[in-house]
Amino acid sequence: MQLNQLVQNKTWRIIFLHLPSMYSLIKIELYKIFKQKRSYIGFAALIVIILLSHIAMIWEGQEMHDFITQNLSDAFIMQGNLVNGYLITYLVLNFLWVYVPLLIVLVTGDLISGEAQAGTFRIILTKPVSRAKIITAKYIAAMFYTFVFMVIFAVLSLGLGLWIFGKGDLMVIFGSVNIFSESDVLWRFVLAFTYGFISMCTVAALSLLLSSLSGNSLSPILSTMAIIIVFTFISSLNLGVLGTLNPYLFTSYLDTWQSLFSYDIRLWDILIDALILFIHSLVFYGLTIFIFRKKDILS
Amino acid sequence: MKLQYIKYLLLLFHLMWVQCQNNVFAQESNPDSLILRLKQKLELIKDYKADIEIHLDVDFIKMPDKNAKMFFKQPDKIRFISDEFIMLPKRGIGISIRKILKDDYLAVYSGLEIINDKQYTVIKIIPEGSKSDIVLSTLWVDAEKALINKVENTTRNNGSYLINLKYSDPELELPTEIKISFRVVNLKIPLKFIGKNSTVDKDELKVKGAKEGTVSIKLSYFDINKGIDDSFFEEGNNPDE
Repeated sequence: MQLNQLVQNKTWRIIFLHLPSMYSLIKIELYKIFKQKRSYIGFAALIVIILLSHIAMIWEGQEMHDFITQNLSDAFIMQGNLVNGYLITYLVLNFLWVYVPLLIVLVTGDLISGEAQAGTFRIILTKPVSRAKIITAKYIAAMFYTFVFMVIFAVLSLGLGLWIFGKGDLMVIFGSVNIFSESDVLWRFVLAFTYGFISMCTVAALSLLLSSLSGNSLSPILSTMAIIIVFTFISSLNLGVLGTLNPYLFTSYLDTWQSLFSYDIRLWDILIDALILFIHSLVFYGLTIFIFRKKDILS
Repeated sequence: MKLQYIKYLLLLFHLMWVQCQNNVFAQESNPDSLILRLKQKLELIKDYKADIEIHLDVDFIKMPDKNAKMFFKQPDKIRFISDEFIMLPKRGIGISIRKILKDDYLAVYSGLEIINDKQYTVIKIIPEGSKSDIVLSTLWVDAEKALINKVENTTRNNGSYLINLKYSDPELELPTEIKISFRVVNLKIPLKFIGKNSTVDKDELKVKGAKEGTVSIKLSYFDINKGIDDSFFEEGNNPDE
């Protein structure tokens, strides 16, 4: 297809005409994110927690392993290095999963409300750029920040774990005692972190939605965390009427990555859970545009 | 005259057959000679090294097949070396029949049993003294070849376990496959420690009291009676102790 033919096509024309400005908007949003000191607090906290976890595991790893396997070792001869980089990464993933949303929301929750608080929207909106484009650029920038965060999380926890503790088979208790061969582990972590990225995008999208409703930086951060804590609490209670709410709470799908560490992986179920989270993100995005379009910029 | 000769001949054959049967019965009902042959055969194997393939089948443990090297030295020294993580039941790995036959015991002939169209002599061995954890050991022995086909050990505190042995190499009088059926009693795993949604049914484990499993070990021997230093086993496992 020739270039002029492409330009004749309506869809492509929209893309050609809008892409440069969209690209510039995303660049501006990313510049704003990475210029803020606050953005690096999340990274710093993540790095410190991962470092501390690994240092603690140098002393406590064997003891922890013995505690987990003490009953098994009465009945079985167990030989081999189970306290390895993969186990440490799996433990760090479990321990950190509660805190990762908070660290991401610290930045994404401020993307819209921060501008409202600073009064910069009045200047931005004088430019010939639609409000939907501004929100889209902020969403893409937030997703990029989440992606960078998850890449650092994955590379640092796995890299450091493998460097300090070496490779080995992974033992996980998930429905049964599952032992995975060294060669069968890495792809599970790659998929787990990919799923983690999708779930954290939903958290970021929620924080952006709440950010569009707020006029200060702190409220969306706190309210996003409050929603996650309350929903997770309801999910974990799983009692009576509250239990029936579970399928409707997005928090019920955040930890599906754990099922990648079982022998009978139901890939279809995992994909559906990821799709549900993606739909949540789209709904939050749509609502944010809807709210922001109707919003009076008074500050 | 010719008919008379045939009659005598038939009578002679009959007497010979009866005598032969009596001899066989006397030999089989007295297990000592068979056990002596067994011991002599077991004594021939001083040590060995083998590549092993482990297949563990327990419903609460999921583990792929593993490969390791197994080192054995008389009477009961065993060591496993593997790059992978391996898990084997403690009971039964030591083929502790060598140890039982080394100490004082009482052997009782328990008849003949046909397994897979083959006749085996069943001998019950009761170790004397209170040292051994095994209180009764039942052996299914191929009397012709003096090879143990099956062992059932009843322990003092940990129930019983069954060991099936296969000899697929006719030139080798060592098992090429060992299948151990065992029970795990009162298993408790800290479920909340790893994995948020771990759902091992602790109640089910408690109700049944025990879980049964099997481990199959395929052995390919690469060094027999070449000598292994005792110090090699110092860091290794000695599972039946």
